[in-house]
Amino acid sequence: MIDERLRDAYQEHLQSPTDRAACASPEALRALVERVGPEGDRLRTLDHVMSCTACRKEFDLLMAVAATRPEGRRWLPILAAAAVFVAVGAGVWVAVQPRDSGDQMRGAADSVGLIAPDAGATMDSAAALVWHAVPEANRYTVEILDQEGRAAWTADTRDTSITVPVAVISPGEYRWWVRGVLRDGTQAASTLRPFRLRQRP
Amino acid sequence: MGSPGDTLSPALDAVVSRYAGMVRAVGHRYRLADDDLEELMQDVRIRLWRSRGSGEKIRQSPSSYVYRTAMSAALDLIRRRRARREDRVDVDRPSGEATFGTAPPADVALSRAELAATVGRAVDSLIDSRRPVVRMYLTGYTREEIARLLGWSEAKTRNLLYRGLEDVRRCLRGWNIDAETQP
Repeated sequence: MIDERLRDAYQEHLQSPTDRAACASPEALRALVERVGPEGDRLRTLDHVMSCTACRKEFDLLMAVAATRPEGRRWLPILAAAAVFVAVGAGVWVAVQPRDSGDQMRGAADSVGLIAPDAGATMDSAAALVWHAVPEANRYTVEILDQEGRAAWTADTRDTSITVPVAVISPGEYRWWVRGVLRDGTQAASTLRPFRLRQRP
Repeated sequence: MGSPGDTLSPALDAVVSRYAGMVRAVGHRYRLADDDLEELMQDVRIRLWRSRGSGEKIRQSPSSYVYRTAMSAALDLIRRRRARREDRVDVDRPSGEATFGTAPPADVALSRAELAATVGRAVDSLIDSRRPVVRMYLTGYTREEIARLLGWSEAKTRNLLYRGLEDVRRCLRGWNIDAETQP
């Protein structure tokens, strides 16, 4: 089979690099296996990985881990993209509505709209997280993730706001997100929003 | 806090074993070496022990938390190896174990090396949209794995792959190389 011969020849052609300076970063490999970020970037990473035996071994390790990703999380990028799409659509809809209608934009039915703090905000002593209510939501789980994606703090609430005990979290860069658990057992998720926790005096 | 060998151990063992089983189940598909898996699981064990505190918390760790812990551990493993410039060489047989009569004649080996280099050049010449797909396929992944990784439909993947492979064959024919008849 010609495909087999091509495969044999191509695999013989692959080499391990002596200098890994040009290799894809571990973060780029993660973005590739978790399908996060622009497709063009991921294709460039893939192009390198499939011509570099050292990167391919690392890619295979991450692929094995990524295959265990819970279904809900696996769909998160798609949900996040859908949330952005819906939010933009809702924004356009709100923009064209008469100003005296008194309507407020609500979180879309299949997502949780974050209100405050704004993306990239810096917080210190008082850190309140606020989001839109999701119809049919029984409770919400709030997670603060560190740069490595580890949960630095998690809490459940029935409210649509929560105060973070900043004293238990080290200063640094974080992202937060909210999951709403609906009455029928399904979940609605927000996008991840970055914030910075400042060194306390 | 005690050591992983104290009362936390049964909870840790249960969570880590269950997770290791999941990774092992798919690991062979991705040529995951046993010692990579062991090193990864040891790191996951330590991270869960440090972050979850109690056996009950460990037992109740959501799968998304364990997944994020494992992904983070895998990235750190990669960073550590890069920092140590460790690049293990996989060999088919232990060093010093000689095998006689299996090496191809020198002219055949040279032809194979030339064919490999030529196929490499042909793949390098592909357009950007087809090249990564063809590389992945020739590296040994299936069409379904490519589609899943990139989030593409089966039809889109097949289209780009077959067009790319045809480009490679056309290129080789233009250089008077026939991969069917090469040694």
